[in-house]
Amino acid sequence: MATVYLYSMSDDSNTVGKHKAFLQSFSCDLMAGTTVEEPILMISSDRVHDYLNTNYVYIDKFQRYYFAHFELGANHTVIVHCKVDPLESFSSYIKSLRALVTRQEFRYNDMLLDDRVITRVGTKTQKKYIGNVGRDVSYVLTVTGGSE
Amino acid sequence: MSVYNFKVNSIDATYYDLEITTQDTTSEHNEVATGFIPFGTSYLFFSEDDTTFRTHGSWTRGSASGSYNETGTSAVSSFSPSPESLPYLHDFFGDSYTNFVQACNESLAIHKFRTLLDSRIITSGTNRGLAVQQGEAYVFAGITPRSNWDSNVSPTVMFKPYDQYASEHTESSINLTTSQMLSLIHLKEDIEEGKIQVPPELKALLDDGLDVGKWTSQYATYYVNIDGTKNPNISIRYEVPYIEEKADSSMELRGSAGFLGVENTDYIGRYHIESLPINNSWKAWVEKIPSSDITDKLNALLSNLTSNPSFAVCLFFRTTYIIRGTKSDTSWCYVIINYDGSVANSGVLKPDGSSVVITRNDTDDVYHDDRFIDEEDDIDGTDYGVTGLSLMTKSYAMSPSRLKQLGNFLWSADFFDNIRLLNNSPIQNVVSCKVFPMSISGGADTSIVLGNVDTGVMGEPIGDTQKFNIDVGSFTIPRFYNNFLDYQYTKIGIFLPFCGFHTIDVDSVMGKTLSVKYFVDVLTGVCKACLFVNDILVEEFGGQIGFDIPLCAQDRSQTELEQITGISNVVTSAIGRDVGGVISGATHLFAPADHFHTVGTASPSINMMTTHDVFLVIERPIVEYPSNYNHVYGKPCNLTLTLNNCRGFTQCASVDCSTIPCTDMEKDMIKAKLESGVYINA
Repeated sequence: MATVYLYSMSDDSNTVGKHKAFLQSFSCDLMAGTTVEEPILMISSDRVHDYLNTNYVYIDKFQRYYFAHFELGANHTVIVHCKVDPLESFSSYIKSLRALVTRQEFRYNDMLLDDRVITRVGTKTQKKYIGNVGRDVSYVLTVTGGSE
Repeated sequence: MSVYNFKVNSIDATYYDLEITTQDTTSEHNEVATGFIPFGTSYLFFSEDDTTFRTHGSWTRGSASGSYNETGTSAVSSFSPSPESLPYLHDFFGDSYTNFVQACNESLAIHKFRTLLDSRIITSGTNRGLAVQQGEAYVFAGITPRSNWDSNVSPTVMFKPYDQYASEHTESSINLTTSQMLSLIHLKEDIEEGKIQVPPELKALLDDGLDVGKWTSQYATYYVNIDGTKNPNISIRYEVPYIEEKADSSMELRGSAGFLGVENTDYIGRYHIESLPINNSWKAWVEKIPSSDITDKLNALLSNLTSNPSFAVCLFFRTTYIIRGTKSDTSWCYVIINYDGSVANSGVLKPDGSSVVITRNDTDDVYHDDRFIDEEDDIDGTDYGVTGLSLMTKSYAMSPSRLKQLGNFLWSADFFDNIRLLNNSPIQNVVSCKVFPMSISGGADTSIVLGNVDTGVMGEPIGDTQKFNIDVGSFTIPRFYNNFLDYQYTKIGIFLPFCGFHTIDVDSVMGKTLSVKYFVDVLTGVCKACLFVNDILVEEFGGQIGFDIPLCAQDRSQTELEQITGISNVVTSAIGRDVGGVISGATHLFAPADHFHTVGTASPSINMMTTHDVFLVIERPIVEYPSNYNHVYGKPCNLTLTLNNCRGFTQCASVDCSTIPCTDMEKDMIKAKLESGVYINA
């Protein structure tokens, strides 16, 4: 027997620290042969109040969050296929990781080459005047003799 | 009514350096004073002008609200900090500086002159002492606990050089008193001579080397060394010569670092180290931390320190001297370092004698870090010329008309006037005649001598080195995008007249000042265009800037020799009745062979016909970022960070998930997700 918490979650799956709205909780049995990464629940259909908005569950027995997919079963049952969300289940551990961050939304170095999705649409040519060698003309005669 | 306006010049844990302006609205006096109002130890020091107090007389504490009444007149208002003071106030008090306002107002209460001293005799009593700074003695008295601040106490502090005002303020009683108090300098000397009688405790201070009550204005010399190849890449060494190394003396150092970007200013980090040795080294590793982590008021200070250099790091140091376990004075130093490692600005915030010395002890010449590069060694920048070229030759700057005169001379038919030419052909002494596309001038006019023939044609002799430099000019190549696009996809070419069009290394010149100088050898017409970046020679290109003008002249020696030979043959043949010889000699005499010498060739001068301007052609990319690019893709970061400090899109590399208590499959999932990019919410 495990307690299952149903949520409505709208963030992308690759989000650490998801925003989720609690909907309801109940106790149920896990189906035989279920794994911690992909448990399957079978519950009576009248126990779930809002199928449409429920897409996320937390199972206290495994202490993990799961993406939930509901499937109608026979005899007014609902089979909930769950797939573990390790990013949310271990978000505190993940946030404490110290890692080499290659790309970041807010912390970045503009001087580093970004060759990911740069679209070059053209070039702009500038001409910048520095100076001139000279605009006059001079003549230099070099001779032998008469030197000092 | 008198209004006091306070401007805080500097502030630290113990002292405020204030500028106090008083305005007496009931009279015509507007006076200014400067001084110290210590916070917590409560004494007021005006150092500049005693006339500040001339109109006020004695002061009594006024209402509990913090206003103070001037006896017999009206109230004094509270002060309002000037806008310039706010960064300091906030730095110390945070967002609330009410305590400071109160302290200053209360200090007004102890601003009450009383006759402390009778003539030159220091009477014993509480709250009096000596202050000595580098041999000059000062006396102070009346360091009164704040709880005793009322009209019945006579707290007065005076720091004045001996006799400085003794002859100046005698017209009023209060200034007479002031002058008496000020007459206490050269204290030690006067005491030794018996001119001043002092109580035993003050005499003991003198005998004890005057350490107690020592004037606390110390100073430090900061040696800031920048080494782009090291980590940490900035090291600070400070020397405080005035404080002795003792067990109970130390330093407290605070360092803050800020990043000055193009669009914003970010706080980097803060360091606070207590109880350092008096003379010590300290190192900082500058790592950028996002603006969301700003916890200091450094920004305000940064904005006051410099005129917004782009891409600079500001290091800000505050050292507090701890003498015999007691915090003494502080000094402030700042250094602003550009990303290329050069120092944009440096100095001290408080004029206390401290100074900043920038040193560079790099020995490694390898580009190492993306922020700093090594300083270059000193390269001899002297423009040398080869001397002695005129020992055998001589060059003249010629005008067209003089060249024409010379040509006329070479073609001169005046045989008898130039009889010496019989033995010489003057044009053989012409080494070259070249035209240059710039103005060349020589010395005072002299007659051109070809071989041993003075032509009488004037020219301006050119100096011995036969070298000309042309400072073409300089141009600072601006960044346009202020990111990698200014380097990776930008191309820069430079047209150098007579040297051609060349591509130059963008990394070498972007954001820097490129200057161009030509070196010209007038003897050969060869030139060399040198490119300098921030006064460092980086590239050079050779070319031909002087072009030969062919000169042609009759070889008179041959001509005249043949004429003479012809005459001789005619005469000889006539004597010998050799008709054929006479005819042949006459033929040579009257129709000598053409003997012309041409000097120089008409070298290609096509470069003369194109522009003589030096200019850059900068080709910059035009890019379009997909909308919401940062959120979807992020931008290159390449920093090792704790992910908790990241928000939004984050992509990692080589993540170690071994510390996460989950299954192997989940670890692989986490690793894959982090390496492909995740969004991190708070």
